[in-house]
Amino acid sequence: MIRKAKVCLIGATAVGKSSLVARYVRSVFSEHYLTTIGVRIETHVVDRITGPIELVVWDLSGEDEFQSVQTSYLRGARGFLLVIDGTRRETMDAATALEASARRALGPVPFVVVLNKVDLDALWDLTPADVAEMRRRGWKIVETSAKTGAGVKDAFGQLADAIFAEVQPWT
Amino acid sequence: MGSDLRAERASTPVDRAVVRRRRLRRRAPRTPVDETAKLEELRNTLFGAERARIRDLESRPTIDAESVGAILPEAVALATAERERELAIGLEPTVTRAVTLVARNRPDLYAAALAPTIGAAVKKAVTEAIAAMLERFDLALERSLSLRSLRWRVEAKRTGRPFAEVVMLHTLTFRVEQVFLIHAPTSLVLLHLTDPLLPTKNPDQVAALLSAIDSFGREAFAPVAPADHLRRFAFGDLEVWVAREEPLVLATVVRGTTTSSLREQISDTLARVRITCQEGLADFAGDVSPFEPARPALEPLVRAERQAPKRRGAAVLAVVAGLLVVLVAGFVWRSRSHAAAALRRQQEVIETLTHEPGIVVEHVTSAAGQPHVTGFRDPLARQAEDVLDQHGLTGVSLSLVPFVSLDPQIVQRRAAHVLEVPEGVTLAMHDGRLVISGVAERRWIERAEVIARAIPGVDRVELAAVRPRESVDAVRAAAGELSRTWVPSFANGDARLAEEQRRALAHVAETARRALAAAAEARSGACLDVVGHADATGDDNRNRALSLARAARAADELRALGVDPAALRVTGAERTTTVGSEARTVTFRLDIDETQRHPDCGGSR
Repeated sequence: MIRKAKVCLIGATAVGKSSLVARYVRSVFSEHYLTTIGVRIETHVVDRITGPIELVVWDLSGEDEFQSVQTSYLRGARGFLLVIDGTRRETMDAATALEASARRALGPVPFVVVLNKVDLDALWDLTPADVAEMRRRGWKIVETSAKTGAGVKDAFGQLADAIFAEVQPWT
Repeated sequence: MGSDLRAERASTPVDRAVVRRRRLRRRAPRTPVDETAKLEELRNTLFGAERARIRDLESRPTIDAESVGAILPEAVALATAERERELAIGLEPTVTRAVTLVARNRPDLYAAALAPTIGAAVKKAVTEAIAAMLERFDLALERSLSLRSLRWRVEAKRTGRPFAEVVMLHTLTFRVEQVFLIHAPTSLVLLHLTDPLLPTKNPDQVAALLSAIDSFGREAFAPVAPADHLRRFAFGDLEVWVAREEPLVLATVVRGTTTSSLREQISDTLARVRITCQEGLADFAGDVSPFEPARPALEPLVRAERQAPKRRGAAVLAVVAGLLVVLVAGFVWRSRSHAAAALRRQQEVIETLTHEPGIVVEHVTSAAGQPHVTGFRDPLARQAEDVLDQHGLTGVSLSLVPFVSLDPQIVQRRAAHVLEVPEGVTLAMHDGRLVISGVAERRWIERAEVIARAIPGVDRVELAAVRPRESVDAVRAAAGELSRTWVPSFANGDARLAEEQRRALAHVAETARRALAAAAEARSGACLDVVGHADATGDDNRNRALSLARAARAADELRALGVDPAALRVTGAERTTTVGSEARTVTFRLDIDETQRHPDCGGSR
């Protein structure tokens, strides 16, 4: 069985989306596309017990106000990674808005919140209360470090599992 | 009666037994016991053997579909082990018919069953065949050398592509390089087919970016109708045709010029695939395996259409045509050269003959490359053949009619011929005038004067320059005679004429008159020098004066005797060494000037 899913990588500007996935994804196109049409396409194969799952990752440009522009790029996504920069609390607020936009566009698809830059302890800005609030909302949270690669595979894996556990056929 | 008849007609044993039983029943009444026993006996008699077989059959186990189904696998396995060949032969028609029916009625099922093995095998075989073909193609091309192949070689070198691929690209009408069957809502690739020899990018990323471009275009150039999507884009000789039949997108990457038949094929294929995949699309949740059966429907799309190869015969024909053109051009050039050479030769013949006096060229034609001249030739003109030979023009045929030429040279030649010009006489023609000069006998001159006027081309005859030989001779004779005549000796120191001197001078005067007259006839001028002499004795000055005086006295005497005074020229001789009377004399010399008839002799009348 060959399983595939389109997923999106969204988050505020400079939260480290591209850095986050740089070592795990395979892109055949240059960085240029991201700035040209606002999206970079990558593929990432996640090995699960049930077999490999190919995630086609749409790395959307990090405009905070992208909602009005990039909704069409969200279309068809099975899920998304919502990236937050742990050293900048305001990116959590942006993520909240982005999650709402994505939900409006995609419906109740699974997503995983990625708290990035966990390696920067000294600069960490999110409080335990912030994280608790997100968990209270029912968000799955994975802490990652683009620098060390920690947690990244887990984030993609959890997303893939969530997608194929909750998959609803397209009609 | 009717039933009896029916009984009579009964033909089977059972029928006949029933009839007999009915007859017995009608003939006599029976008790029940007897009846039963007899009937049993009768049954045994009639059906004993059959009843035994029936009992045997009924004793066997019942065979129905259920029981057969229960033992069929074991039975087939047993039969395969013990009578495999017979079983195979027995089943072959049925199995063949079944497979045929499946292939006909459910091609998708059949394809799905065979695709995993046959698809891979076919793909491998096709790849190998194409690679082998390309190798052969490459080899053939390596051996060929043409301007076009050189250009392609340069392109292959520049682009880093194999030479054969470059050639294929240039000889293709189109080649479908990739086909993407895409699930439009998710932009996931359901099937991806590609030319196995071509490098490809990750199809999912390509499909996703196609979808992104479609979305980008729809937003960037909004408003766009909902049904309008990216249908085609091209760069260079590559085109991507995007056919859409929700929820499927068929993106076809074509290199070259897409034909309408290919576009129709794309559309038809998508419609067919859409039907084939309907079941899988209904519950698509990311598993692309159920779409594999649609692969055979897409495979015919990955193909190439080649330009009709230029026929070798056409190339040969072109070469032959080229050679013919060259030959014809050469022939034309040569013909033109020959024609030009012949024309030049004709011109030379015409010019040469035209410049020759007494020959008139009327027409020049060319026959078998040789000029033929027709015209006129005066009999006194040079032979035309000699004239042409002199200019290196040979092989010219001539048809020249005699005629009388008025060319001055020919007229002069005619005059010389007619007049039989003697030695010492020259003729010249000037504007129709025949000028005769030289010395000739008077009779010839008189005859020439008459005859020359009748010569064609002679308008006038000028004889002023011709002198009668008789007169010339007479003048010369008189001159000789005068030179030998002298006046007898004068007295010493005296210049007066004595009788003796007068007599001598009378003779001189007569000779002189005759000489001057002859000179006039001979159209010559003449001066008579009268030279006085003195002997060597005495003073030179006095002797010089005495010599001059003696000459003057003699000249006076001659004048008196009728000699033209203008012709007399009186001089004194230079100093002499002669002593004696012989030296005291007067001598004479006739000076003839044939260039002028009236020379200035210095004398006075």
